[in-house]
Amino acid sequence: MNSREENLHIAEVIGVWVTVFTILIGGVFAVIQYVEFKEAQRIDRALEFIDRYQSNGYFIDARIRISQALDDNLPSISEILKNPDFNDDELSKSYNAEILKMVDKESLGTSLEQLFNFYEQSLMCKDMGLCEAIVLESFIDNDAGSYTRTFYPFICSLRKEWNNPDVFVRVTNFYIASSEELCS
Amino acid sequence: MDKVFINMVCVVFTLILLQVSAQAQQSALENPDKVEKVKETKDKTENKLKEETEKKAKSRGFDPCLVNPKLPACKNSP
Repeated sequence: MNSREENLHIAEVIGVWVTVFTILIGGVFAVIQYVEFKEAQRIDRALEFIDRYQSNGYFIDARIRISQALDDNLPSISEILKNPDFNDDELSKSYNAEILKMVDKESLGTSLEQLFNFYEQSLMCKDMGLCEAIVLESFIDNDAGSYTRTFYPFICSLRKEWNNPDVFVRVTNFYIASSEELCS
Repeated sequence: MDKVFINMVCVVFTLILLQVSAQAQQSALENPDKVEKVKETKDKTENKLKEETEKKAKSRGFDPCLVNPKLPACKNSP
């Protein structure tokens, strides 16, 4: 093999390796772009949920009605919660009765069902990996958590009324640590 | 000589593809539509929250577990 043929051989080998290397890098870039695209889709879906939550008239009205009712009934609810004479059982029964009385008096049932349905859908979207979790958590978890813990007696009454222990179970399981013994 | 030439053409072609791919990724990262959409949603959210807060402020953020953690819904809560 003379010097020219040797150089040609070296050039050929180098050419093949450079090609393989660049194809590999191209492949890695393609994978990164695919992951980026999927993440962007998850963010877009989460933003659509938030947009609905923040701009849909039904949801805004429901939240305003619930806030108004809570505002009007806070003194009696606080009185029960701060009563030092109640044991755990009495506290639970009095609180349940007060919340159910408020829901009935202020006709909050439909508004609460709308909101809990929405929270359940958003949790489902997150659990299925279709929506970006951190986006939903930042915008929805605060409201959803406090509403679920405040109005859990309403959820328990729906379960009893419909004879269905799974009503809004995704919401209670996510926002209430002791959800299994919630309605017992 | 032909083999070297073909190899070199392949390398140049791959490098061009690589460059296009990198540019596409960069433009995806800096997608102005997405930034605009996030900003728009943020503005809308702030307006709605302001409206809601103005209408009823006191009960917003009420959580019975903060008042009495002995409620059944508050057990084992962090």
